[in-house]
Amino acid sequence: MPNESVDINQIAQQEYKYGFYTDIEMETFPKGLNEDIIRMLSEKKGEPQWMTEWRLKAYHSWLKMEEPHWANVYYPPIDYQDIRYYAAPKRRPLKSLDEADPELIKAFEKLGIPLEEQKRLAGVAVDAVFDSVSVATTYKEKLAELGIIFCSISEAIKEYPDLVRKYLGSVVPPTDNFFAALNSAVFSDGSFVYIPKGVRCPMELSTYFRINANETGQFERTLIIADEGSYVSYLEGCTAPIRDENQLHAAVVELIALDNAEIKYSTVQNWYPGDKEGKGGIFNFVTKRGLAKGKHSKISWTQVETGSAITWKYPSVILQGDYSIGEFYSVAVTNNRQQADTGTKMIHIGKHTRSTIVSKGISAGQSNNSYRGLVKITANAEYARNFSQCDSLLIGDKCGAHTFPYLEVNNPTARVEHEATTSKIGEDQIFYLNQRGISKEDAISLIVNGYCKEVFLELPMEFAVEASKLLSISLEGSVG
Amino acid sequence: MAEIIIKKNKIDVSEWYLKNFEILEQHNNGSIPDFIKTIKKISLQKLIDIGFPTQKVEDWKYTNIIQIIEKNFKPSNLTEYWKNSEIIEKSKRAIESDQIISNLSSLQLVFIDGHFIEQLSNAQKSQNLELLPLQKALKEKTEIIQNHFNKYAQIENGFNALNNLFFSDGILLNVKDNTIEDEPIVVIFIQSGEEEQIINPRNLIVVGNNSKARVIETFISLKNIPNFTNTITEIFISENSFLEHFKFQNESLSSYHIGKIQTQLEKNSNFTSHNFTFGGLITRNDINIVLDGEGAESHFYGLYFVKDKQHVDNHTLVDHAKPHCLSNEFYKGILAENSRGVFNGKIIVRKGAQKTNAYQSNKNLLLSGNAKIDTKPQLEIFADDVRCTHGATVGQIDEDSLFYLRSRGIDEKNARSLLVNAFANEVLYNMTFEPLRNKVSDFVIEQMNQILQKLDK
Repeated sequence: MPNESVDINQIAQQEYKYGFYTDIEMETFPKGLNEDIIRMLSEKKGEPQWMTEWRLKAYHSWLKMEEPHWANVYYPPIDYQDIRYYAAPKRRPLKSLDEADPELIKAFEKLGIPLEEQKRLAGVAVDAVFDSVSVATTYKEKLAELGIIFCSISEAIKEYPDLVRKYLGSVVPPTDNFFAALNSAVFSDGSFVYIPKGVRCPMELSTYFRINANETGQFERTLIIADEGSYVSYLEGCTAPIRDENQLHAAVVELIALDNAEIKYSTVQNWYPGDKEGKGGIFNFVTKRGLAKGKHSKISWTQVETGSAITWKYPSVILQGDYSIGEFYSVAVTNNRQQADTGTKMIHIGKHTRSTIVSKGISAGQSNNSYRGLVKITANAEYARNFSQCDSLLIGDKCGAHTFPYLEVNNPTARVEHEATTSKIGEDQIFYLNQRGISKEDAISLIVNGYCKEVFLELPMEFAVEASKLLSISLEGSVG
Repeated sequence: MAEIIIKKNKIDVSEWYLKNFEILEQHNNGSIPDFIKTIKKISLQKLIDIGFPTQKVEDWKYTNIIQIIEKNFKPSNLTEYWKNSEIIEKSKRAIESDQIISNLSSLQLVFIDGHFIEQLSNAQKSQNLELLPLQKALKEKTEIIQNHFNKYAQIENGFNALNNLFFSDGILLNVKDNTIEDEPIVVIFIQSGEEEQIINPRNLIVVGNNSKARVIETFISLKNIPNFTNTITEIFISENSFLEHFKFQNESLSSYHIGKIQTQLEKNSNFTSHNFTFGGLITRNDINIVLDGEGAESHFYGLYFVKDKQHVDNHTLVDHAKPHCLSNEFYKGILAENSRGVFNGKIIVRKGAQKTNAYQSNKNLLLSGNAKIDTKPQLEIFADDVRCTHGATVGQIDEDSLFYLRSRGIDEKNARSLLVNAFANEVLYNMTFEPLRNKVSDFVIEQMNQILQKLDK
């Protein structure tokens, strides 16, 4: 196959599309982390006293914790004193986008989020987080008419302290784990969503995260509360510029669904994955957890993970309410030297709770892709039901695929099923498509897309298109 | 009770065992071969270094062994109940009345408290089959032992090291090239239960080229008092050979049992393991295999049927080191009353082990609200041209099936018993040795009836 490999090499040289750096004036903190930095951060954001204390408390528990290393990923030690914990565009748009730095607007346009245009056309409300601060939230007024709150979390701390105090840290407590504690201490911004009783959010809410500045870490915090009988679909996208060194991203996302509420959370994660030799890239260490608190509530996670040098995250659902439902649909793609250890936890507490897990891993190049999941049926979770399926696809003989499913069943009325397969793309499948005049690259892309279809179907329309494009880019050149 | 010192990932070995090891050394008075001395020396250091695992160690996450460590079990090397004729007589009756192993074979080796009992054994000598107690073999067949002993089983935890230090007796089975032995070889380990003892049986099985054999290992106890059995069996199978191995853990409901079977497979060889756990308070089985030659094949079948407060933990590791191998694993568990089951099945496919086929399945049936199961199938794959699947299920007796049977006039108790038996039979059908299969099947039915009877009261 000499000809093919030439083509493939050309394609393989295609670089990360979102790797540009926007030269705008930034305001940053000195490197390092200590109480003063946290106080400074809190003051900068004009936070109330309770918030500062909350952060400090988290910081103190973080100091006592050890960085966990049980995941199936390997990376050089992180020096937490060598990171800037705050970076913000200097001219912060206060009232409208017209005041924003034109460079910033350009950056967002390059990323494909035309804030202006979306206002008019797409009907997607966007909250864009640039490095550490939220720069613009569109469509806010329109949502406010329905009583929906969609704003940056800093704003929410000031405007809706009661709601924030009640729910912040209720699903992921600051002491939950090392990275959650770090995030609780230093989170700079993120999104806050509150859907009032009985309201069905008329549009998809969306956040775009971007790390721009050098040597900064991004620590955003998202809190979504769906009150009784409400519905919201939330999208999240991420990109970062190309840099030689690794950057840390440690976010926390908390979802709370009350009686009969439904939250659908979709992520397309495309942080810079590092170059072919594994240099640079984002360390994506994220804690995402949803609490299906009310009866008949539902939380659904859909994720497409194609970026990051290291992905380490387990979007989970605690099924507390009776008859609540948890879902997890994931496609994780690793190429070159990327490493991913991702999966989910479904903790069944309520009666008649149901969960579904569909995970599709694709590893290519020299990457390693692990699925790690826990399904726990507690003693009181009568008639709980789980179905898990995790498939791995291997492309090339230098990559690895691993599955670590944990099933803990403490109730005999539970029905738990787990299935996993690992395989490569069948030569007969490729042959079949070749025979019908489809080139090898296209055939593989077709097969891979078909393989991921189950998950893509769960994504909102625009994201599904983007995800399928991302998938082909991520895997380009990996077939030979 | 020994004072135990728990560090984060380790429980320090207690003075008790160190002291007893010294006594044993004096007792042996240098009568053991040099290479064994070296192994013991390394093992002792290792035992001090790694200690025993806590639940912080991933492989021991669901099994708490503190109650084993804090008891001062007397090493059976230093007790002499096995010489007592009354106990020998009692053992004889126990074997004869045993539902599973009685009248199975003419080749039988019996060990009481880890010591070989000649009058109960029948190890006929043949040209092609060397079958003798390990301690005897250490003197007579030094060469083969030196070549294979402790070559495959790594010291993964303190228990393995403990066995290296205190191993008493067991079998050496050497099946020479081109030998087909149809008569199964039955090995019986009996805990006399006269004192709280630890026995450390140790077996070595070497199968030459183009040969076939069948080994049945059984563990039983005479009295219902806490005893500890810590066993290692090492198996080496040469090209084109076949070994079928059975293990029955049928000790008393107060016994502790930690067992390891480590197998090395050469080209085109086949190892089939049947692992049954019915007895023991805490039972942990590690069954590891390395498929180290092209075309090698391994089949693991397991059934655990536990009740009361029993805890059974099965860990299996299938390591595909060479291409074109096949592995198949099928474990089923029935958990009644307050019992707890753990299953961890790991498949590794090494770099370059292309065209691997690996299958694994674990199915569990919970019969009571207090029974618990933690199952973790695991795949680690570093080659791309492979086909691996695993599956795990947990459920209860299907109400629809029960209804179906009852609507046909079968009472509930019988219907339940029938369904449990059918569940177990799916594993038992893989036993090609029919007399044994029928016995085990009957045993399962009886166990089930006992549990149902208890429910009636």
